[in-house]
Amino acid sequence: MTRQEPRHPPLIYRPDLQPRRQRLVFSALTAAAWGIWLYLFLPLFSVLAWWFGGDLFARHILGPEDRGHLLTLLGYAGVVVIAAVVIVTWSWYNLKRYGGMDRRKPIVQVTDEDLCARFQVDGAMLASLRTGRRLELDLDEHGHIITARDQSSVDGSASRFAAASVRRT
Amino acid sequence: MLAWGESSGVLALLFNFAFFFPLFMAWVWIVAGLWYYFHWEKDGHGNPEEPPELDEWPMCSILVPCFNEGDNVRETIDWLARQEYPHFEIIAINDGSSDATGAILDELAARQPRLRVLHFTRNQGKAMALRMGALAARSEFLVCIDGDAVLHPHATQWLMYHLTSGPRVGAVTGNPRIRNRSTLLGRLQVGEFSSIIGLIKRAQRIYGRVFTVSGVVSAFRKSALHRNRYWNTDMVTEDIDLTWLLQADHWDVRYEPNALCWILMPETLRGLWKQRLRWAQGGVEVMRRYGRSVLTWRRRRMWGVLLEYGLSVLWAYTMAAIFLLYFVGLWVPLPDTLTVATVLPTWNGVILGCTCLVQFAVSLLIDSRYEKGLWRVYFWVIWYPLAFWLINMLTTVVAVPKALLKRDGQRAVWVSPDRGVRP
Repeated sequence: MTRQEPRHPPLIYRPDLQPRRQRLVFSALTAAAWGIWLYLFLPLFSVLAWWFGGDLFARHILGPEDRGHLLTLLGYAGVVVIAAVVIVTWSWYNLKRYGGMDRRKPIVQVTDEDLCARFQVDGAMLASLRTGRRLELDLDEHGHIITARDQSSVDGSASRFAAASVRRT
Repeated sequence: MLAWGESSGVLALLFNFAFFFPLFMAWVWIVAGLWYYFHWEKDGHGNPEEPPELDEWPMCSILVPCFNEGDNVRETIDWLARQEYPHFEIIAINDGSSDATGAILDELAARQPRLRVLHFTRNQGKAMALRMGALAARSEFLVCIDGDAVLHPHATQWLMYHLTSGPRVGAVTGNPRIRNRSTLLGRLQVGEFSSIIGLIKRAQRIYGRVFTVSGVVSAFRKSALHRNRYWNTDMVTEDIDLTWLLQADHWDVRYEPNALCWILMPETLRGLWKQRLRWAQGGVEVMRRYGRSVLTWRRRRMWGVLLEYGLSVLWAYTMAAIFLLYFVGLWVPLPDTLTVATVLPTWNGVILGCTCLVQFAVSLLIDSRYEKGLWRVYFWVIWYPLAFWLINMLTTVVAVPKALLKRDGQRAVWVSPDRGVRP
């Protein structure tokens, strides 16, 4: 069975819409970045070149007089191994110790009274907020509702300021 | 090349930390990402189009805060109306927009029975919009997306699967995917959201705690929010703040890569800087407020993300110090122990560069199941470490004093940066 490709909105790929200046800046930056990047990789090219001349690589990296280089490379590899061991061991321990367990009991869902108390609104306003299709809210500087005007009529069609204003108690 | 184990002198310490911290973390993320993928993604629930069946289908309220989203909100609501979850309502909160957002929402509400609209008379900020949305919601479960985002038709079901399957799940974050990729910055961010953000979220799930949910797409249990003051209105990143609050209260925060959400990101340097500076400042604000309180033994599960974040801030300052010493050294003679000969790391750069390429390759491999043709960005992300590490370093350095000097209780209101090049 073929895997269905996830649906998505049209992607936006329009490089032609960039301002000319922006295109020039990004091109220049890219060129500079590639230059630096290639410079960074020069030692790698050297190693590859050495590798093709096997004896030189062996003499400079593996040879007994250049143990420092070899130890450095082994040190880097050690960091990679330590990182892998740390995270896999931690994950394995957690799976063994806690896998499938859920010790926390469900808590009671928040009630309307709790909500009213927290947001400092009364029951009528809460009901208005939950049923209104279009509401205009005026808030004070602390985020408390000063007024809530229901702008929708019962049948859902728009009618500005048709419903009563509810004032915060 | 720095010799392995060299640890004498200030410079050696700086260079070693600047090099080994990203090396170590990158490999932790790579291995953890692969571990997560093979354990939980590959063979299990691994297709956005095939969400798991739920034991129950409780009502869900989708909250959409909108501030001047006239260009985007129609598409956002149209896609939300196509959610294939059986029982939901949409609450759009028009946060005092000065453009046509309000009129468009009213027009949409007139023909879309699931949509309700709250209009604020003045701009109050995203956190306040979400708070009022939660108050007006008829359900215990809240899915929150931004007013310029597009949610996959099954995303609600994927998010609700977690909220209904575990009583301790307080929040679930989805998988943001970038739509706009006309410029180099757009394409780099496509790679970044897969490589850095997606991989880190998977890794953090393995630590046991995530640093933040994605504010653009996340779902919450209202009871968990109620125990924790909902969204704080004085934090510039309400998503990081809430994630820490919930986890400190021992709620589980999960990541669901199948819950896809298509988003718009800035494609100008100015926009990118503005956005990253806010993110960096938000992280520091959260550390300032909760850093000490999570150091208790009962909250020891938070220590992993706390340590990771703390070291990343230290790394930014270490890099800044190295650059500073180098540039000062060009003009002023410095003692040998403080003289930086070059800021171009040769061998170390190769090792970090190769690590970065492996990281991108692994993450694009994992993420290619969510988006076809993702490999095309691989060509462009090659200079991500040069550019974005620099931006992240600079924004962190600027953000720390900004966050530390900020007055407590000041309402956080911001205007979204540009949303890229648009036809």
